[in-house]
Amino acid sequence: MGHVVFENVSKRYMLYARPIDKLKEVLFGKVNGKSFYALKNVSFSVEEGEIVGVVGINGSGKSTLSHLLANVTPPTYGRVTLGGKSALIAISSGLNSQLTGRDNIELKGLMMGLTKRQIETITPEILEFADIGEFIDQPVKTYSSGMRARIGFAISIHINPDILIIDEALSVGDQTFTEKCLDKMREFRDQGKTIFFVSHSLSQVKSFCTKILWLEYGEVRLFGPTNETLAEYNKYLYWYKQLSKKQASHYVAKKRTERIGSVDQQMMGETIEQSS
Amino acid sequence: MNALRTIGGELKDHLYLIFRLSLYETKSQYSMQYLGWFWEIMTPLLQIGVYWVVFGFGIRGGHPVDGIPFVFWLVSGLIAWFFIGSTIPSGSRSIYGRVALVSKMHFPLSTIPAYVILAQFYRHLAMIALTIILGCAFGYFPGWHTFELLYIVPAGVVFLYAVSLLLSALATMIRDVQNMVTSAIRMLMYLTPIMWIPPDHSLFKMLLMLNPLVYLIEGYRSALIGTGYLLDHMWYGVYFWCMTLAILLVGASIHIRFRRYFIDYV
Repeated sequence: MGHVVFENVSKRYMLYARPIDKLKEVLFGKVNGKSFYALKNVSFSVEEGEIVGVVGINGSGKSTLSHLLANVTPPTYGRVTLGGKSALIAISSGLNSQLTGRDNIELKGLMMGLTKRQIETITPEILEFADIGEFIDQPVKTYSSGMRARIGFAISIHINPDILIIDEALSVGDQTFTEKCLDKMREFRDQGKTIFFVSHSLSQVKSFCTKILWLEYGEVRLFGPTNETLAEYNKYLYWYKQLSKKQASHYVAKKRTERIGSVDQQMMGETIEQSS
Repeated sequence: MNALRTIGGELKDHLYLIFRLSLYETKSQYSMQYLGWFWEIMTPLLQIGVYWVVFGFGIRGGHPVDGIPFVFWLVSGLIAWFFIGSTIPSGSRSIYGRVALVSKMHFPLSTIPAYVILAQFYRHLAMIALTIILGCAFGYFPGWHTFELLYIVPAGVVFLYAVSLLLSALATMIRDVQNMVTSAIRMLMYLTPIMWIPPDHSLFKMLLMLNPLVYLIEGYRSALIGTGYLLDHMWYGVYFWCMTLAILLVGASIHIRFRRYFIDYV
């Protein structure tokens, strides 16, 4: 339960020269155009109970990775195996801003496939964890961004996922709430659940994660224990910063062309969610 | 056929989900306005008023239709159109607007058009009740023909689900479909004999009947007024159900084939 295996996973997005090419693809299945590899040949495997920090500069494929982990989108090639239910927490956590916090708890629960009784059981726990008081019966649009993050986080952890993906969501909370979340995540780890932690805050990653997955331009650059991998990543960041403007843009352009390829046919990867 | 069975199973297994989500759908729709339900009734009433003046007095000079007071004849067809005309555009928009919110591949996407239709259905039921009261005011009391509602209302819902399933899949992948739907609905409102009467026994009337919406509109009149249309037009009913089934089959197979990719089109 809770393990995650990626086998040669690629996620490709089509770049259409003209909108009509997209229409042709939908209607006739004829693929015409270039494609962009958001992720390319990513393979790794994570045991249950690990906390994996995902690092990488902007555009390295971190968000695509969290979408694949959360089973939001299927891979183009390869196979993703998830050892249980997964939940994604992001800053824009899919709350309906017209409805109250309480309504959103039920709505989200229903969409995650919980039964009426399960929702009734978890609602008080969510209220207690989120701790937003009177506001729970006000529309979410009146919430501060911290309150939104809190209710989103509270809902996602109480639907009891086996795999939790946290995408920069803790960066908006204040210190006390961040501590509360980190405590909850340690509790999760002790229960044998797997956590993916996507963050630009290297200090948080360092204090918290057991492993680091370093993505660079859609590929795995390094995957290993926290300290060694972060040291390498820091070296890379330092090297990248000392590049002159021209060198840097040359480097980025080169990496970008490597991710573009031409396509002759649609392929289909798969995501397997093993029930726990 | 398999696709249709899959969708039927999904709808059956998620009845509670569809019901709850439809309530939230109506709730979030009206939470913005102070007089939410007031507009629900007021907008159609104003529309009825305008059509009554323009078509009833302006064009027909106040004459009844086959002895039926024009306003009652108009309303009994128009309430069906209000339901159709608001459900088809929102049904076709339904998946595109919500797939990101649902954001889970194992969420049964086929339930989305269903709960969007159900959210409109509550208002429709209220309008049917009001129309029956209006009929009583004109001396058209409920009778055996009222039981035809038990046939024509579900027939309308099934037809609308079929159309929404097809259009929502297409509109998610091809955004232009939504604009086409909006214009088509605007034209169909006048191309369907809701506010006017086509000449009898004409080729024109036969051509109009290719549009399955004519069956629904006349079916509502049959049930609410007692025109006997449904019993007189059995073969037209067969045509209506064949069309519905064809749309449902095409819609189901497109939905099942492409739904894994809906999220990538948003």
